[in-house]
Amino acid sequence: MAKKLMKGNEAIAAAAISAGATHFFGYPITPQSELIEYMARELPKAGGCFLQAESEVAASYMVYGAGGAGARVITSTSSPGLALKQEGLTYMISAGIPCVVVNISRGGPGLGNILPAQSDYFMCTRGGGNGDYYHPCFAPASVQECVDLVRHAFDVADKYRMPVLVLGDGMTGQMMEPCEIPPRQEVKADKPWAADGNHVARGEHNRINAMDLQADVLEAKNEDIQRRLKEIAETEVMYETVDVEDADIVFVAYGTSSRAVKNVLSKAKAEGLKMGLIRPISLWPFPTEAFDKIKKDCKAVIAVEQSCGQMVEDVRLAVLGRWPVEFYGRSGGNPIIPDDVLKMAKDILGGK
Amino acid sequence: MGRKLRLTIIVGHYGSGKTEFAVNYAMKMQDLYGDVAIADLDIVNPYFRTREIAERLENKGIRVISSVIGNKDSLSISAPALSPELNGLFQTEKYFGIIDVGGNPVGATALARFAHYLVEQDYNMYMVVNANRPETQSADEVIAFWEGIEDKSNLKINGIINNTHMIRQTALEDVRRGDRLAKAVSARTGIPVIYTSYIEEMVELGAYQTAGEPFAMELLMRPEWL
Repeated sequence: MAKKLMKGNEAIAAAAISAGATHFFGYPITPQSELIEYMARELPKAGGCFLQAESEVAASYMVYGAGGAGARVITSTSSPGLALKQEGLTYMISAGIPCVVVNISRGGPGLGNILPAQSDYFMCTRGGGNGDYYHPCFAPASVQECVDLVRHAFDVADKYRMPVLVLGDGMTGQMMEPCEIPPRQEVKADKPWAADGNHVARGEHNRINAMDLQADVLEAKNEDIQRRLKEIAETEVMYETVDVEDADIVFVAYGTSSRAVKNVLSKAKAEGLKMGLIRPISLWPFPTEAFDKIKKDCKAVIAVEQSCGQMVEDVRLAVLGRWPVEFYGRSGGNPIIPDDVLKMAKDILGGK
Repeated sequence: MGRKLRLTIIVGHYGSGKTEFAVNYAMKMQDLYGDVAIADLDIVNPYFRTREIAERLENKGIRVISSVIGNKDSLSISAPALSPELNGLFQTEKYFGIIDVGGNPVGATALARFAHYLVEQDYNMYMVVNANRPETQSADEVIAFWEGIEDKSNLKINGIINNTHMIRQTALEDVRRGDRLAKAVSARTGIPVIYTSYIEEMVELGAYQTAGEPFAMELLMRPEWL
């Protein structure tokens, strides 16, 4: 397989097709429109169905329908578009529908702007719809990781019968990097629950449903959702650590922010300073176990985000008071300045 | 350094590295001749645009023309609002103009609005080619984009730039692969290869004879941490 130079958005679309996705429903929005453009051009060539919906809400229910019939289905959007999809997402949690949802996030709140931001952490991990649930959510930091995690997300979605999110910021979608796309696989996932007319005897039904009027039936459904989420929390954690064990300062950053922090680490190393990084790859489940690697007399754990502080709440829960937790953030689409992050870390080491 | 004409238009497949070449070319022309103006005519891409490094270019004395809203304020919105200043660039002879056009035939559509100014003067229109992009790996594919761009812009391409790279993983083999493609396109179209651009920090050309003049570039558009 030869490496090709691709934009994150294109690579995500190509990875979905290679993972055997047969259906895409979505609505264009900057900065992820290249993903939809690629799908419109390439998915029909692979025998799949591309449909531009009339809105994000409509797209989310097209996903519901295709997923409920057993298709490998994906939708993609950017921040305000994901806010619109929340109703469909909570219905899919209830109905047990596997799908992949890509969010190439932009500046918020509201319509915000088209620049990169990481202020959708809450919406993507907690789930922005009603009811008791979290979303499994993976955050790539490179174009190759976009490819790998989108393919992985389909498998996780099918295994646990629920929507799985892939969260990149605008930079992830727009940046160009070398990557390899594996050849397309035809997936024959066993979905005996699917409403495709093939799995039950005449007169019986597979029901795909998001409404349960009887208290005990709804409680039993909730218990089943919680059982699957617990299994995900125990088995689907992914993270990377860099020089954490010996570090006097440990940064926590995901996605493109982690790349700015890696730049900080190399600058710190050149000055003889010991700093490390925990990079959550699964944002939910959050990699709490990674924090056990931090040494007792580490001076601080610093969350670095392109937001006003969202993941930092999970960092505090993982730290559980063992070390001081600090926060560096930019918003509005402004970039993280590695030199400013380094200065903040040095001030903490210097006792300021 | 090529034929010095008053206007040089940079077109190509999107993601081929048009903007990276255009800003490097602007810097080089400013060093050699001065009075350079660069126009961002991209109505397709939201990021990695000339306007992002406007301040750096302006500090070098290069005039940057982009959106009617201004270089900085237009960064955060997706509105293809071209500046009326563009007319001045086409109509007066004060500047050595470099025009960075959006990718693909759809990006070249924005150029058609100015085509009537251009047919009356001598201009260069260079097609940037990157053999590592999935959609421009063969001469057939490049020529399909070429024809689409000429059709939408009502203008003729008269030079080829081999800009084949892999960002920070670029090796001489990438340049060679691009050379082969650029020569094949040149043989089919009868249009010469003007430059082979390469990232000086990463590629040692040595004795390798490139198609066209070698054009050394630095990565101006990519943040150092990315």
